[in-house]
Amino acid sequence: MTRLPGGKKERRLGLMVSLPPHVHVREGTSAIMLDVVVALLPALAVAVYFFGLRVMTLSLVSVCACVVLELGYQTLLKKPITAWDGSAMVTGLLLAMCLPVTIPYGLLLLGDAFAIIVVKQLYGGIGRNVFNPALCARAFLASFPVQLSTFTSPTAYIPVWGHVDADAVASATPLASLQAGKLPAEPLRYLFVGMTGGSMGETCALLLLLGGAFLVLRHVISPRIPLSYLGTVALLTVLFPMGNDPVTWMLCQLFSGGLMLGAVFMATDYTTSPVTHGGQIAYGIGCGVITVLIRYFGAYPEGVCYAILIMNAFAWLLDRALRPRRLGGRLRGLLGRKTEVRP
Amino acid sequence: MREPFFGGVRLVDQKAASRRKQIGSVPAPELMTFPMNLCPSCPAVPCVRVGERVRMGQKIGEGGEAGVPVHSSVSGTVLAVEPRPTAAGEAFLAVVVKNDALDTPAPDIQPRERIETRSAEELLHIIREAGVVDLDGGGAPTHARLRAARGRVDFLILNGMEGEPYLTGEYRLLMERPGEIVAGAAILRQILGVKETCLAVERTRGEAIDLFEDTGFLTKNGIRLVPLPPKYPLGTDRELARMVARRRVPLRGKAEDVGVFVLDVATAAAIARAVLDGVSFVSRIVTVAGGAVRRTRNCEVRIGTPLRALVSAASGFRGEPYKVLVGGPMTGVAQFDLEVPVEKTTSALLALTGAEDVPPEPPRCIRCGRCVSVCPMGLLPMYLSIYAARRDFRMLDKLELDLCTECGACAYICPGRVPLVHQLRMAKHEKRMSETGGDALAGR
Repeated sequence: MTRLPGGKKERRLGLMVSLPPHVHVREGTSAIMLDVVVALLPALAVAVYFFGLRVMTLSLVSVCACVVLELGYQTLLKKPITAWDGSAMVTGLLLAMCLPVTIPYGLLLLGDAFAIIVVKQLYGGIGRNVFNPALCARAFLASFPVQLSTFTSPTAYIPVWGHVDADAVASATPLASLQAGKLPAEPLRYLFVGMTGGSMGETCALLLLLGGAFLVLRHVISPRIPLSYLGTVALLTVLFPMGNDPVTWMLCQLFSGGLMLGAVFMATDYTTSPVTHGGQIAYGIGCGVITVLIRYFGAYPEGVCYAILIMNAFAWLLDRALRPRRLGGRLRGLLGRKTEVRP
Repeated sequence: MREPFFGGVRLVDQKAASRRKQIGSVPAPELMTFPMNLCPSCPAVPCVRVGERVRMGQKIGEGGEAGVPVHSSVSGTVLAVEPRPTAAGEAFLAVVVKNDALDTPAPDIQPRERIETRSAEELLHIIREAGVVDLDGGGAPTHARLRAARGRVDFLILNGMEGEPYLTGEYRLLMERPGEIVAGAAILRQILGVKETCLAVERTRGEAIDLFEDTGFLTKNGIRLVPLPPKYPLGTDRELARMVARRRVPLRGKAEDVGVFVLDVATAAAIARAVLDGVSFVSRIVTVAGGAVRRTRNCEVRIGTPLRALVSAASGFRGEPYKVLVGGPMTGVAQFDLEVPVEKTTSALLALTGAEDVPPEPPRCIRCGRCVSVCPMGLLPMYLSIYAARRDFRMLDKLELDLCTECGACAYICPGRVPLVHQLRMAKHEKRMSETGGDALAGR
């Protein structure tokens, strides 16, 4: 309010002053996280169908535990509360989905606590953690090898509560036969729809891919990471097959284990993946190469979890090395070298 | 195949309320304020004294060597020559004129004929004396840009993109006064000697495109219409040179460096009026819009009119506005005072309600990378923000902070609501201060 000549005074308007832009996109962090949950639900529903209601209770417990743990941690340490933004919910759901259905509730809660407190909050919370919380927790839970490697066949009865007699329900997973250099016993289409042994949310390649397509259409993720990851695995397995049917071998590799869940939902985790387009492609290729190396030469049948965790450590480096192309017509090559491009 | 445009954002254009509103007029109020920095790069010096009578179109501020003069848009008496608040938020030396409502014109306003016989230098002089500046954003003196570009350019792009939401002034100009734009283009061609002239508009301006294509009005006058996708910020010189002329502007260069001259349609029309009608630049089209405005309008407003008069012309506010902006919502300046005057670069007065933006939230980067995807300059806003918080000027240099144009695309798209434009602008300021040895917070 300025003084007008003549000393007129008027009521002051309570105007908000801020720097531009003065409009923003409607969808915030929680809308994005909600999209991820929606994309995961079909695969989860199939898991409930194949592995029973315990899938549902485990997922719910895990989701609630993650949100409560984040809320508790932030309340106790008087930090800004981000527990309701949905990221803890996604972590809880993803962790449950990459564990076997026979996992005891206690171990699941231990994993949730590790993911939220050690991996996420101690590093500064959403946007700051170096490693994917769900995958880190899964790697941490591998210190209980028996519980982590008891996979059930889709037809076995699993009680919702209480102890599961591991020996009674155990079945071989397609990954185990792949590691032994043999094609899995079940037909390929079973692998595709998820009628096979494995962690509860990882078996249905079809619906995980559909979930990924949904996320791409909603612009939540770009297809760069999943495509480069799956493409690398496909290329390497078709070039170096075991047995004499390279294409079936490749498809079995693609549709078994945690590859789909990993490539679509874990490797694309915002916080732990590169943001530049070149970086994302290099990251996907790196994930693919390490996955195949572990699957072929490792002692452990599944390489997705460790491949993504290893590549997580390179996210910032890849961003730095593969910066976007400039409009000015110069191409920024590896390590900041400048290359002239003719107009 | 036109080159695809990477980056940028698709904005909700919010133009429905004002795009069909014909250009109206706003009565000039009793007091008019003319800040001397209407051309910000080279402010004018007042050449009238308090108490002196001025006529409409009379020069009241003498432009410097490279600048342009300031004219009174009304006739009346000079009431004061003193610093007054401006829309940029700082006070600047201004001439306050008491309007006598007679609109007595200055004697030297005469229509000109036989323009084609005039030399380029003569035309440039007319444009300078009329006070024409680039009406979109910067407010650089047009005559100086034209003079520097003479002989170096062969491609003229008339910029009718108007990519920011709410703004419809240029669109109405295209619909109602295309003759002025075409006449302006002819004068520009005469000055620059360009071979090709294009008019770039957003593809969404269907009615204007249909109008020109049906009547063949532009083609007849040697202007090619180029509809472009509705992506923000496609209306910058750099993008237009690439999309329309298919030439890549060097990283720190200008469109002129690759032989392209870009001028917005409003400035082209102003040049036509200055040269043909002989009138100085004393009024422009301003969109008055936003959810807190009773009557959305496009109006021809005299420079120097206080914002308050514009609000009255729009029948006042509907309830209490949340923000009042001068300019578009992506780059406009939020106002705290409605006494500041309309300037030459004022494209709009927007009164927004709280519902027109998302509610403020504590910022939190989730590393989603959307800012990197949308940055038209190919920068990494997310990393720039991190290094800005650390005041790591060496890294900011390496990541080329200086290329940031503050278009606002990154901050618009950010789901974590990080005020990236604010942070980067502060970082530039602090960097400048650290280089000049000054205190970053001096004068604040």
